[in-house]
Amino acid sequence: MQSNSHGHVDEAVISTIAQCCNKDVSEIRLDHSLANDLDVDSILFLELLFALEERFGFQMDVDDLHPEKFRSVQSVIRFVAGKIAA
Amino acid sequence: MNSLRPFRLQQVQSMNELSYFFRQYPRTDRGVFETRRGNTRYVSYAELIESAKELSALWDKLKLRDRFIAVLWMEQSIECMRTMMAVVLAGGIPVPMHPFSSFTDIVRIAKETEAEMVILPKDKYLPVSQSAIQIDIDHAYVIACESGKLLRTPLSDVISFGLKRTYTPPQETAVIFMSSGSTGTPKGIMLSDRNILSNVASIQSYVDLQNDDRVLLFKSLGYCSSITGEWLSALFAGCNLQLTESFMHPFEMIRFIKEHETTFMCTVPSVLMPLVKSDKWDQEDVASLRKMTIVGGPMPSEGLLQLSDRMPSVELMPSYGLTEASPRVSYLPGSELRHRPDSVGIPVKDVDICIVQGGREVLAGESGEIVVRGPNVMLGYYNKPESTAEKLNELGLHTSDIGYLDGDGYLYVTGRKDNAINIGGHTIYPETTERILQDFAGVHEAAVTGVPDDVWGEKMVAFIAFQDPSSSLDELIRYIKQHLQPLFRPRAYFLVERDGLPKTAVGKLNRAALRSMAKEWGNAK
Repeated sequence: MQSNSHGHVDEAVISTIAQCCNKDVSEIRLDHSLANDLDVDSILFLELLFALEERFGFQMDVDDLHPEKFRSVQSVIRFVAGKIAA
Repeated sequence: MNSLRPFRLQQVQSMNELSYFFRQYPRTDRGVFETRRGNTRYVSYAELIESAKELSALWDKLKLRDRFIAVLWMEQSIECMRTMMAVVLAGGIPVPMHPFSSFTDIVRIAKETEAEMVILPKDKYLPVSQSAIQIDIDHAYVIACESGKLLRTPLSDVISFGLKRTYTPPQETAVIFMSSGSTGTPKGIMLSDRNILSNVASIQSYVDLQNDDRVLLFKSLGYCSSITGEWLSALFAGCNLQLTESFMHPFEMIRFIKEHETTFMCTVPSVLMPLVKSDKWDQEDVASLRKMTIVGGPMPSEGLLQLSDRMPSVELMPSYGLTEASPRVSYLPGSELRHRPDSVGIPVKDVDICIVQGGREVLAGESGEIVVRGPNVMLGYYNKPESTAEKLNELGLHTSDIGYLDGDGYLYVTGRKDNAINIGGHTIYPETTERILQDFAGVHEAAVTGVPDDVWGEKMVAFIAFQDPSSSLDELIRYIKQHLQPLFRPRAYFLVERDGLPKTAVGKLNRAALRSMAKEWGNAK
């Protein structure tokens, strides 16, 4: 069951990222770097956070904003999974 | 005590006033705390000026012209501050460039300003110098900003006979700031020592920094506002400066304030609006903060008042300005925030504001162009006499901002006279982006405009007519990312037919119609 719910989060995070970056879900890989591969700039980054908050119904905490948490697609998935499990 | 010491314009001819200003405040017990990737280091103002003197002495042997021009890549670091001071001490005119500027941007500006010196971090220069790309800056010394050492010398006849300039800025030019221009090419805004230092004094007279304040500076030092409003104001008041990289998210700012006990800062609405929307921080996180100036465009009054409720001990002071005015023009005193949250306040000390319509000043309540007079008004644009004449006349500096004064003399900014879009406090001309869009093979016609946005003030949207309907929008977007900084990139694209852009009777783009179209299409999306 655990893996099922994770799989669901994975897909939803990837589709949110794809939407923000104007890309197709199939173009997004787990090891993609947000900045280097997906061209997430400072403006897009904020948009992405807003979109994730809205989609998954959590709010960022002041201590959440560590760059390593948002380096790759995989790390964003891990972050979101952590937020909704909390 | 130190904070109240009046600044006196110096008399020595051979030294510029800004250089004198730097030397006048060599405190050993105050200085700059630089925080990068979690590590903080400290340099006192006295050490900073000494090390800038050493650096400028290194350049003596280059025998540069008095008032030489130095284009410098400025990140928020002690080294870059030192480099800029060294240029000033050596008698040069710095042209500070944003840290997000590409190597190409820097070379272009160096060519346009006929700079004698280009100062770059090694990692920006070396990869290019070792590649096959021709570097078209044969007229300048290229210097490493970390060490101050030479990376490249100009052609030998430039060294022997000096550079033949097509334009020389007025002798009193102290700093040149680059800004985006309405023709799509950047403009160099020439400010004098007096422009800058009078504005430092005007700002200090309302922010009233004390020598125990801690001033946060995280905005790019490529902005006049960062240099006048934070760096020089902190130096003038004799208080510490907290220098750090730009924040990716407003929460990083909250955490910084909490950890470093910031007491004063200046920011833009797009940083504050996400804070208004979040309840994940509270008053205690910003307990150290005393004052905050808000610049770079109107903050929605509702958001402003909510923010004030959330941080009641902080005096919020919306302010108005533009680089051409060094930059501060007006501020709203904290005591007026509840009464006039939509206003950007009253003129700063020594500055006058009037509203002009049809070449004449109008009465309170009437709308027109905001015109500024005072010692802060720029000398002009670098080598652009026509643009200068359009902006400066006997009435003062024409800001291209539209607004009105109320019966008590409070200023309200309501719009723009030209096509500029305000994105997160940056004045962006659509032409800059349109030029790049049009360069893309397959684009028949392109136009961009702004749509209102809660967080950013405005957002840029693009209308594209492809020559061939099979052209790929994805490729165009990729091309845009390669050629334009984030702020200049459209955030939404609408495809139109070949003759689908609204035109005026004489066949020019109808920008007013384009704006309404963007609103409609955006809502329908």
